Amino acid sequence: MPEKEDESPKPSALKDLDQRLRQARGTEEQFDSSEQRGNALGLAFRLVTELVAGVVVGGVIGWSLDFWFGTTPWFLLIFFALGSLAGILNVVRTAQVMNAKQALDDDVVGRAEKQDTQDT
Amino acid sequence: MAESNAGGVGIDPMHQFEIRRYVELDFLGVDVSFTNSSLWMVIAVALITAFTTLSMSGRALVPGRWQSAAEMTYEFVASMVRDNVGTDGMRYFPFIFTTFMFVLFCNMLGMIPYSFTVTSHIIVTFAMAVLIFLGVTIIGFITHGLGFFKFFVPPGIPAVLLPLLVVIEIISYLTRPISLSVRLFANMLAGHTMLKVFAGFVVLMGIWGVLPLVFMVALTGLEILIAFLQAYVFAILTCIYLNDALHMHH
Repeated sequence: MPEKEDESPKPSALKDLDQRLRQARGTEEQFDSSEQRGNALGLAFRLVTELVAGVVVGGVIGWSLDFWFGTTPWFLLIFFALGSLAGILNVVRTAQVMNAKQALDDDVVGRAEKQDTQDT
Repeated sequence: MAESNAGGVGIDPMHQFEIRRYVELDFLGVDVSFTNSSLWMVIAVALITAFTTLSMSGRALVPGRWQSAAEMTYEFVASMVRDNVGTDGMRYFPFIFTTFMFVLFCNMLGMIPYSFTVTSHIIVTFAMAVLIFLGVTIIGFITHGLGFFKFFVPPGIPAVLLPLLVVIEIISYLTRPISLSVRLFANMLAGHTMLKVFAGFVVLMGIWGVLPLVFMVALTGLEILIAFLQAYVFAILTCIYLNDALHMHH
């Protein structure tokens, strides 16, 4: 477990290894993030699912309410609209998270700071 | 694969998703047959158990190859939970670790030729997503009591718009199991169908089949990446939902 490793005193050789490991890990992480950025299709697909899921859930709720109360098609119409709004809300939220992540990745200073806080 | 029914036109890329009953079982009128899907789930669980227990049986201070692989997956999921849920989320670590490993192994086993991809069926992913959704909602209500309803009330909204927005927020919350399950299922279904379609091209194009074959090698690599990535996304979304339930902020 890492907690125990941190407490134990480090001989210089181990410290050196630690530093080299950390360096290697740093470059690996950067490589990962740039690779994920290329995965634009995945991001687009995520946004589409969010939107469609909202419409589907709204439609199903509206349809079942109509089915129970016999008010076809009013609840379906209302909840289809509400579901679309919920879908759009989801898309905006997901996109905001994606943007924040992207900005963090792009910002080299932010990355370095993050690394520092993780290290201590 | 495609060769089994290669009469030229008889290539069926959806054949791989067919459910076959191995042992017919009936429980109170419900069909609970042991199918190829069940078989591959059992294989996944058996492999995960073997991987985590056998590799750790040595408990060496300096880990060997298998032990460090097991420790790495543990550390990977543990840091995911710690980063996304916080240290109090570590109570739910066993569940998230199990979910991640199951999805990962099912996805990866699906990459073996002639195997069956459990996660390419929406009912499997949807069942897992609904279980996570219900569990997380229950955790939310246990942690916050009726105060959990405040999660659906966005702050700083005029009272006139509030009923409309609360309904929208609730619908938005209800979309979670659907987007969670559809994402995993559609990625698996699309990827495997595409592989089979290109495998069909290899057979159809004769000597020029080398070209799609080269493309398939690259595609297989991409599929393995997606198999891992989707397991990761499934687990991290579970973490995010859990975080919402425990700490209640958007």
